[in-house]
Amino acid sequence: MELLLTHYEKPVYNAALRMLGNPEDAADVTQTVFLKAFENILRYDPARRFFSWIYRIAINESIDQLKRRRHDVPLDTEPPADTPLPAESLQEQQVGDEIQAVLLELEPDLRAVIVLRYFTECDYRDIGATLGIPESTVKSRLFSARRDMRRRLQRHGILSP
Amino acid sequence: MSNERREQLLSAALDDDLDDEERRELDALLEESGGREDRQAYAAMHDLLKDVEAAAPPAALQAAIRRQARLPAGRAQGWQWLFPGLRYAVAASAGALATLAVLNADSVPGAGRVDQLGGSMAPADVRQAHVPVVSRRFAAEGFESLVSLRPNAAGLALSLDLESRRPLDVAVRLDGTGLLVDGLAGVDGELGNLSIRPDSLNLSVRGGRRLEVLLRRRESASQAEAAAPIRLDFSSEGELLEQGALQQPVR
Repeated sequence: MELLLTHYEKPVYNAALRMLGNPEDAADVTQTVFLKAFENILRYDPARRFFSWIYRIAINESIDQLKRRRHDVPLDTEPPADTPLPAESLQEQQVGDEIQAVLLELEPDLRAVIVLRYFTECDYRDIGATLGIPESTVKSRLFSARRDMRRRLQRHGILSP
Repeated sequence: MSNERREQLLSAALDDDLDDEERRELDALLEESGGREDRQAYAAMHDLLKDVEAAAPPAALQAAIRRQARLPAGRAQGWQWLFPGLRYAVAASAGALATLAVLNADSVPGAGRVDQLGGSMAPADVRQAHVPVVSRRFAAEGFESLVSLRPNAAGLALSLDLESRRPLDVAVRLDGTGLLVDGLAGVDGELGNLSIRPDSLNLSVRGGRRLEVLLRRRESASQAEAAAPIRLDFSSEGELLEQGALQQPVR
């Protein structure tokens, strides 16, 4: 169990953070994910890939959290006022914040495929197993998500029109 | 002006999921008006997403999870660690046996929420007979290990039963075998310096530890890869104590 925490805490937290855009909510969801995983560990079938199982809990919990709270708050990564970031880091952070803001504008189904693809580095098969959808659906959802994101990133001025 | 089909193919190209015909089609579509802009936009977006750095979880989160799960802080106690949480969960349900029965009957595959996942609640090793296919003992001054390899539905499970009186570094190498590390199970204590990559696993132990490394066979694995052995190295403080290989079972 220690291993579960050590190995999956960060990716689960990051998946939740990208789904929710709020560190406190992400921490709450991460906690719930692990408690559910511990409670249901005997139901985990080793024939399935473990990360699919735990990411599935994370995505479901994040969507539930979105439904419960109904607030999409941009990622709060403002640095403390007394620790100014170097210009380059600040620019990177601003871009990261804009990307997070755009992610939050996507429908949760589309956001989930982007999160799994880019923040947990899952491939089509893994995403399909995690979300319980066929790989062909993963592919088409990724296309829809990227097309939507592209337009939004252009509107935010992050990508050239 | 963008083109839906072109964007569809560009999206698939980012995942390296184009066949030769689609690649030719994409090349042709990129020659058309707006093709270059579409390609640049998708590539830039892909890079931006890949470059977003992972955030560190709050420092207190692990401790909070342990507290909530009623797990002891610090050193893990393997499966015993789980039992207080399980007892709590089952007691909180209305009737443990009824719950078990319902969950045992619930084997909704594929789509659905996680609370519908998983098929039988019985542990997999109760549901299916696991016959060790290959076993090998490794030993040297101050350490002994029994390693066994058996098939499971997803590929193979590599069991490591380690006993060492000195710091022991274990390396499991899968390169060239067509197998990928899929996870760990049944770990009965802390592991140090744990590093998991798709084709290798490294860990350090002292004392006795048991764990199972779940291995998944890559779909595209060739016959030659399926015949290649899994290699193991055991070392202590930089000194190689023992090394060897386990042959994959013939499918």
